[in-house]
Amino acid sequence: MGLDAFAKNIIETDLLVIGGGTAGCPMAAKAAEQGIRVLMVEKSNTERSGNIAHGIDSYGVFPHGISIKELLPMWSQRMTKRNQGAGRNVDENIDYVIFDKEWWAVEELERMGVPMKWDDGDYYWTPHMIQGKGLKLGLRVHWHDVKPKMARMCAERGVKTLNRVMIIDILTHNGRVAGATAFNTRTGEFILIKAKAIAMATGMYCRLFDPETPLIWKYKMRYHYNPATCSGDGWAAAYRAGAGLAHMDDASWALRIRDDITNSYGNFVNNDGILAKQYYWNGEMASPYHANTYVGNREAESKGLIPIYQSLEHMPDDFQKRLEVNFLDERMVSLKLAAERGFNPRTHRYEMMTYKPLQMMMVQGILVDEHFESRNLKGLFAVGDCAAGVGGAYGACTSGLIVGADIEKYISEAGEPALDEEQIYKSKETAYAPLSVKDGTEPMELECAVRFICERYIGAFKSEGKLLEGVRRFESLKQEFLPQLMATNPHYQMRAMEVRNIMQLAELHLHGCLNRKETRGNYVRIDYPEVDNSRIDRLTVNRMENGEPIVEKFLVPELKPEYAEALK
Amino acid sequence: MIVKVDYEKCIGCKKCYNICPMDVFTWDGDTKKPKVTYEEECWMCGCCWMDCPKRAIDMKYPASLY
Amino acid sequence: MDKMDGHYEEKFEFPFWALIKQRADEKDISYSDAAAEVCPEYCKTIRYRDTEWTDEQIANREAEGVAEVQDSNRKIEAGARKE
Repeated sequence: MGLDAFAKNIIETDLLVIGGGTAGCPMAAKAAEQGIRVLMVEKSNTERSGNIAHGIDSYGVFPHGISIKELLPMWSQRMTKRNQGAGRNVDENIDYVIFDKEWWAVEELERMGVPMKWDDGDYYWTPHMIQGKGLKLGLRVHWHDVKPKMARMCAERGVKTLNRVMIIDILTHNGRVAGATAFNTRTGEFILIKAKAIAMATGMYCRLFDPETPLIWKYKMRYHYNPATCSGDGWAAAYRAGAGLAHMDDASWALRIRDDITNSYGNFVNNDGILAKQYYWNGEMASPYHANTYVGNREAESKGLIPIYQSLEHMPDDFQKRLEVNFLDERMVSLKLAAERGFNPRTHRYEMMTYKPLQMMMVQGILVDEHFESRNLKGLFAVGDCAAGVGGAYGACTSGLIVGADIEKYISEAGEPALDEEQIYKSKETAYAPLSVKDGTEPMELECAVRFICERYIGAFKSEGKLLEGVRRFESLKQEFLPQLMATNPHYQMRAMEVRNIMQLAELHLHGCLNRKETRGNYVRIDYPEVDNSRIDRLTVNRMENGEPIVEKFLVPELKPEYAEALK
Repeated sequence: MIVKVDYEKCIGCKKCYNICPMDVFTWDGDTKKPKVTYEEECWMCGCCWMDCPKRAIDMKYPASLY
Repeated sequence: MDKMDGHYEEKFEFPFWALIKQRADEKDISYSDAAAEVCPEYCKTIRYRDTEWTDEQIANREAEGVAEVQDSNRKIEAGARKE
């Protein structure tokens, strides 16, 4: 059987970039400049896709001239503190490489037409403290229309972009990547891709939990730190193909604000350094970090002090104006919606609710080395939030550009990819099965059931009984409802494939939490309040080996001698 | 409805249909205008609202956010 | 009117938004394009580059905040309650 028995649309490329977001676009553009064939596949449209679809107000980078000697130890200490002295963020070598190249990345972006300077022609740094040293970090940028600019820079360089196309699976051959299966989310057309290298840039993963904004009965995709399109597709596909995923037992949790302040959905902005204030219902001030007062504090409630609110009323007029500009840069429609809702920052007090589990970010993702290549699957690269220890505002563009710059060497040494027909057959069958199901389960129905398990039985603060009950219920969903997943058109086929990925990753998180019996950093097991010393400097890694799921504890590598030398 | 198209102002340029991250619009081949088909998937990012050359899209908070 | 009673539903308009909307209507362009034009003009009216003044504002608010919390804690201890 030839490949054309499976697909009419077969595309050959050198580099396949999966995800045209913050990391994917710079990478694709840079790689195309090296003269190789670049195919970028995006589930939405690169003009308005990913975490910064509608914009962002800051770009994480340290001021030029700050030496890596100063930066790296500071960063490591910050991450180590976060992990309560046990283990660094993920891999200091990755941090080194990113910090080393981050100013180069700023200049590359500028060269390609992405505005990094303030409107008056100079860089502008947000007032921010790190480690109490007064080191300003974070460039303020006007990026409400950065995605169209990034899409253009790719087009100008001959990147071939397929929008409205979702990757189903990665195809492999002899332990290397060979290509991918995909489908058009509007026409349903099946697509086969042959690639010498694949870069995963699909961002974080949030849809195992409910969105942060309240009362999501009807609007179930209103996520916060990262968009609903980031359903973990890249992680799941990489995992199925044999790549290791790190830290799947870890997820963030944060305060949930009742009122959508509308600047990235309930994220309270530290506006140029002036922190928000907190007030009790009776108008008295609350101390900012008194967590107990937010989560069902009986004493506070007995005095009539609940709810608690955040406020920016105290900001001088000049800072109120900065907030307006902040709104434009991050999510322009906020300017209209906040006003119609009556959320005037000069007078409004924003109600706070409770802590809830959030997405998986920054430390979680595909396990890569300092070249951003998977440690388990040759030819698979991962950048930005998609890679463990890379993401957040510090890593996306930089890691993308580094891979884009260096990938030509890898491509020239990689052989011709050979696609495995059995893999293609299985992948296509899985992807199209929901279209044949009648009277089945709608994707959102199944997804909400999974989310409820993750909210209630995993949650922010975990314990054995709850987790085991969660496992029981999850198994029921897998057995009863996953096989009945139904799609009535290609749009819902996309949602069905997302649910498949969401469930696969949620299961890793569930079992990961069950097995991780400790409390460390922001990971909380109420029944195991101490640090598990056997996990110090180790990451949990999940991967598939010969079709079977295995769990490993991966020892975080030491800083390479040449990097350590540079720090002396 | 949290997102609405004003068909008096809409010129059928396909911008909203092309760029919506969640793909909530479908294209009506007869009227040559966008239709808000997957309204419950809208996350109110405002991309359609801000990119529409005729400012023909309106966004409003639903009751659940009051 | 009590602080916590009156502020909920008062609709208002951001000055910055009024300018963007005006420009968009005048030139018949998208809000995104209008904002790109208006933003630099508006930023000129903000003291972004006055770092001394900015740092002073941040420090003042921080000091005020500490004092306010201490004051509030005293009142709460003394049984302050919303009437």
